[in-house]
Order: sequence, then C-alpha cells, then structure tokens
Amino acid sequence: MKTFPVLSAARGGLSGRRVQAIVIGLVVFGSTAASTLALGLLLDSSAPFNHAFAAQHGADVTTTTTGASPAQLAATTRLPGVTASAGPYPETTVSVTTQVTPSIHVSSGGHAKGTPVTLHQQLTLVGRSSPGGPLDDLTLKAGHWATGPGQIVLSSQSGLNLAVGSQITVTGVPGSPKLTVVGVATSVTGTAQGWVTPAEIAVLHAAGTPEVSQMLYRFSSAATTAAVNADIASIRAALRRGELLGAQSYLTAKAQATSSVAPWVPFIVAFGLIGLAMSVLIVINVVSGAVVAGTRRIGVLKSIGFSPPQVVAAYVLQVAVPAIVGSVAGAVAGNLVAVPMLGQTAQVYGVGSLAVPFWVNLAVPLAMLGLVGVTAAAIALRAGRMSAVQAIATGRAPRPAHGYGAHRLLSQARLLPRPVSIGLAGPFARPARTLVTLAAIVFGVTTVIFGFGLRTSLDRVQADLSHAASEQVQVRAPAELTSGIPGVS
Amino acid sequence: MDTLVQLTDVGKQYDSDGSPAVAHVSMEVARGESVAIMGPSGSGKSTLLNLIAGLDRPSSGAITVGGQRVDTLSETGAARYRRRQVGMIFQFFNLLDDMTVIDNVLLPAQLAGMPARQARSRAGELLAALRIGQHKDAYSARLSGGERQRVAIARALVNRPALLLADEPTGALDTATGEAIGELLLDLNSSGQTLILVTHNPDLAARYARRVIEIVDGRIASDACVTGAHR
Repeated sequence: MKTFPVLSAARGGLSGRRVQAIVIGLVVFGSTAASTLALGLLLDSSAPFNHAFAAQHGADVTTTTTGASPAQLAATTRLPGVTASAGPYPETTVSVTTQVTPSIHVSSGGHAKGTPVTLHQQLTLVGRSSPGGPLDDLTLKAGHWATGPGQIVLSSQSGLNLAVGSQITVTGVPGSPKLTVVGVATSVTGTAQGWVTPAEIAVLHAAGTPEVSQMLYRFSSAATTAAVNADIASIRAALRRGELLGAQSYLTAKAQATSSVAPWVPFIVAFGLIGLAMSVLIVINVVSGAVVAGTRRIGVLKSIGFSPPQVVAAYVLQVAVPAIVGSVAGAVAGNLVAVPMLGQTAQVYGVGSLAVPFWVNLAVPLAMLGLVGVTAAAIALRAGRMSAVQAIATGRAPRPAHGYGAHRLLSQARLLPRPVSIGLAGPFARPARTLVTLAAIVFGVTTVIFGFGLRTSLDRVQADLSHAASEQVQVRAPAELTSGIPGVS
Repeated sequence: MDTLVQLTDVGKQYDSDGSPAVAHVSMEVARGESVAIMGPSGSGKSTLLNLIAGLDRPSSGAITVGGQRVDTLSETGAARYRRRQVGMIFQFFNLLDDMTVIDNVLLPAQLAGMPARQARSRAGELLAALRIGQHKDAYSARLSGGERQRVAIARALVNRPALLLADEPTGALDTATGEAIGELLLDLNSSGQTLILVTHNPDLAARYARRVIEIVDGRIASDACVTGAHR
C-alpha cells in the first residue's frame, strides 16, 4: 500500500475538519478520563481491603508480648512459614483526656458550636520512628510523622476525631504530659490508635505495669482462620508461657471492613459500569458520525484510484490523531480526578489509600484507541466497499429506502406541521446511528438519576449503619484468665 | 481501428423490480476518438460513463478498456484501473476541498507511484497549461466554478490516462466558462486524447465530439459521426 497519498488524504481531512477533529479529541479525552476513573473505582470496589492490604503491606498477625527478649522475638521471625516481619515496637496503653467542642445541628439547617466537653479515652500507643516499614506501611493522611517528644500521630480509627494541632493530656502518668497531634494516619489492620516516637513510649509508660512490645508477621499460609490460628500457635510455642499477651488476625479487620463496605459496592459497581458503557457508546457515535459525514469524500477518493484498504487507512489515521492526543490527556486527567475520588472511596472503606492500578493507565487509552480504530475502520470499510458512485450519492443523502415508511406515515399526520414531521422521520433514515444515540441518552439519563439518588441512598445507609454500629472495646487480661476461652488467643 | 473501449451487451439495473438504467448496450470507441453520449435526464448516460470508469459494476455484459476486462475487477483491481487508465471529470468537480489545488492534482500521481519530482513537474505543467498555475497553493473550495473544473481536468490528466471521461463537464458552469472548458477538451482530443463526454446538450455534443451516441431509456437510439462540426 502506498502510504504517501494515504497520509496526504488524512492530513487534508484533518486540516479541513478541525472542529470535527477537536470534537473527537474531546470525546476521547472525556471518555478515557471517565473510563480510567470508572475502572479504578470498579477494581478498588471489588476487593478494597485486599488492595489496601497489599498496598500497605498489611500484617497477617499482630502480636503483643511482654517479657520476651529481643533475641527471642527475633527467633520468632525465623519460624517456618514467616515470610516477613516488623518490630519489635514498644507499646503502651494510656488514659487520655481532651477537650472537644461539638458541632450541633440547629433547626434552621445550619450548625452551631456547642459547649466544650472533656473526653476520656484509653489509647493503645505504639512507638515507631517512621510510618514506613516492611509491614504495616502506614498511610499518613494529614500532618507529619512524630519526630520528637510531646508529639502523637493519631489513627483515623482511634475514635478521637481531632485535627492536627489539637492537644491530648495523658493521665495516670507523673506530670500528666501533654501530646500534640502532629498527624493522622491509617493502618489497614488497625495496629494502634496512635503512634509516638519509640523514646516517648518510655515517658508515657505507667510505673508498675509490664513493658509490652508489638510484633508484625506475614505468613506464607494465612488465607483462613484455621491457618492464621496455626500461625499464632507457632509464635506462642516459640515464646515462654505468658509472654504472648494477645494476637490479632488480619481476618478480623477484613471482616469489619467488608461489612461496612458491602452497602456501597453495588452503587460503585453500577456507577462504574454505566460510565464505561456511556464512554463506549459516545465514542462509537461520534467516530461513526465523523466517518459517515465523510462518505462523499470517500467516494471522491475512490474515483481517483484509492483502494478500499487505502480509504480505511486514511480514515483511521484521520480519527487516530485527535484520538491519541485525547486518550493520553484523558488518562492523565482520569488519574488526577481519581486521586481525590479514590481517596474519598478509601475513606468510606476505611482501608488506607487506593490508587488507579498502573495497568489501567495503559489498558484504558489503548482500549479507547482500539475502539476508535475499529469503529472508524468498520464504517470506512463499509463506505470503501460501496461503489464510488454510491458512496458519493450516499454522502449527499441517506439511502432512499431508509426511513421512507416513517416519512410517509408522518406526512399523513395532519396535526403535525410538515417541518416537524420531516424532522421526526429523520432519525429513521440512519437507524443504527439513531439507536446508538438513543442508548447513550438512556445511559446519560440513568446516570443523572442514579447520581442524584446515590447521595440520598448512601446518606440513609450511612445513618442506619452509624445507629447500628458498635464500638470496639479492648480488654487486656493475663493469659491465665483467657486461656481456654474459644476464639481468644 | 484500434479499439480502446468495448462494451458488449451491457446492462445495469439498480432495483430488481424497476426498469434497467442501461440495457443491451454494445459499442466500441477507438483510440483518439471523441465521443459524446447524449440523452435526456435519466436516460442512463451517466450510468454508462460510470460503468466504463469502473466506478460502478454492470448487472450484465462485458466492458473492456485497453484490453482489460473492467466488469470483473475486484474493488482493489478497479482502483488500480482507475488510477492508471482513466481520468474522470465530474459535473460538480468532486475535488477534495480540504486540500490545495496542487495537492488535489498530485494525489492520483502519488497513488500511481509517480516519482515526487516528476509528479510535481507534471502537475505544474498541467496547471500552467490550464491557466490555473497562480492558484496552485489555494484551497480548491475558494476557486470559481470554471477554475475548479480546470483543476479537475488537471487531476484527471496527471497520470496521462488512456481514456478521459467527462460527465456534464460544463453543466455547472456559466456559458462563457463552459465554452472555455469545451475548447480545452477539444484541444486535448486534438492532441490524441481519447474522450468520452456525457451531455444532455445537443449543441455541445455536436461542437466537441466527432461522434454522438444518443441514449434513450438506457438503450442506444442512434450512433452517428458528426461531420464539420468542429470549431
């Protein structure tokens, strides 16, 4: 195939139809951005905990030990089946008080500040010098990590909804030290309610209570409760009796996250699927419209000696140029939009941070370009296979047989003005295109209704869930008291 | 006689239940001849021209141009035939309005694989000969009807086709411009170019062709040489 005339025809088509090229570019841009976002939402909603767990290198088992030497704890990391570990991190439980000013709903619909109240709460604090690590790679959502004395990073699941800069007073410790909230972080398995520097743990540790350490483990086999229980048993066996105070399975955190996410998943999946379907339909509609509009030109090209493959190549190239620009820009925009939206989704899930998977950034633009190419090629091939005379004639007007019945029927409707009946019969002349347009409109209306309804529905779901929600209470008891109780390790 | 175009019992029917656009047409056109196909609107003369050009396929019969069967060619084969053997001039020019004059003329040469320098030289010569060289970088949509038809003629001739087909070449032009285009076609024929011209105008047919074939209802009603009609 001679490429120069094909390039020349495509360049001519592009320069002569700038508005059309811009429209194709914009549609592909919008569709790629929407599809990137929709697919990102779909994927992250399908298994949000697993994604967050993988992204944050979550720990299969979190243990609390007392009295075990560093060498003993190090030995547990070399147990059969342990694939990764972190710790020991010093841990303590403190009683804290803080003053909060509640926000009160008033009858006029606004908010008013209530009387400041003092909150009392117990917090499990862990000493870590950084949020990162081989396991439980914490996501810092606000502020910075604690770097010195008097600083605390609160967990977003701590139950204390305090902003960065707020102060907490630790009671039960000499001098009642004050801690300033310098950051807010999320742990996928909820390993602590707050983090301070390792040195700060010693300051906050109440005299007379045993020193406690936290260890994190990943195991090669941890898919089921039985497997995790076996893993915990192997750790217990490696330590002396009473040294293992408690062990938490990631499956507990997963069950909590999954139960709270469940009501949202159908909405997010439906929204994502509608977004994808709309993108596909709109791209097909615009690209096919652009090529159909060029049917007469295809006839002219054929009359001077373009073969059907050359016609197809010229038209695919003509729509590919704006489509490439649109898809690349759309992928970038999709990610930019996805960051805050997936952030919100992650907040809903309470599972740390979520991001658009890398392969989506490659697959969506390529799929969109493929869709554009196949649509343009299919329509151009159809026009290219027509005789040149037929293509030139079809380019001027739709084929006479199409929509004739509708025209005749509507022309007999005396109540309708003739211009209206002609306009109403128009869509029947190009039935396939009309159907695609109709489908896109139906999806569009569905999305709008769905979008408006979604907020109301989710608000109600959230309200119901919050009424039903139960608060977790952590009770630390010596192993002698808890041994033998089913489900307590 | 060196036959260039041969039609044998050619028919074309668009609708299975309608009357044929062309029926049982047999004719021959010799190399260097200028033939006018004449007839009223809807008589099938343009259909006949499109069949000879390979732009459409006959429902029956055989069409041979330069020893090559045109009616049995594949779409790609027909495209190759059009770019090598035929130059086509349309009533409404059928130029690519989104391309410049020179690009319109060059496109068939590029398709035929003519070397770029040679193609440019040939296009330049044709545009100059047709007195349109000054507009070579203009977009064809901005030219007058007569100028656009000259561009179409240059495009049709750029590959030195054996056969030049013109479908109502003056139909969209005013009288003076039509006269000029007619003279141009006459000159081309005088220099040996085989020309088949479709028109519904008897005067035009008589002035610019040596032979007039009259088509009525898709059939040849008469086929006669015109004597002393030129110039």
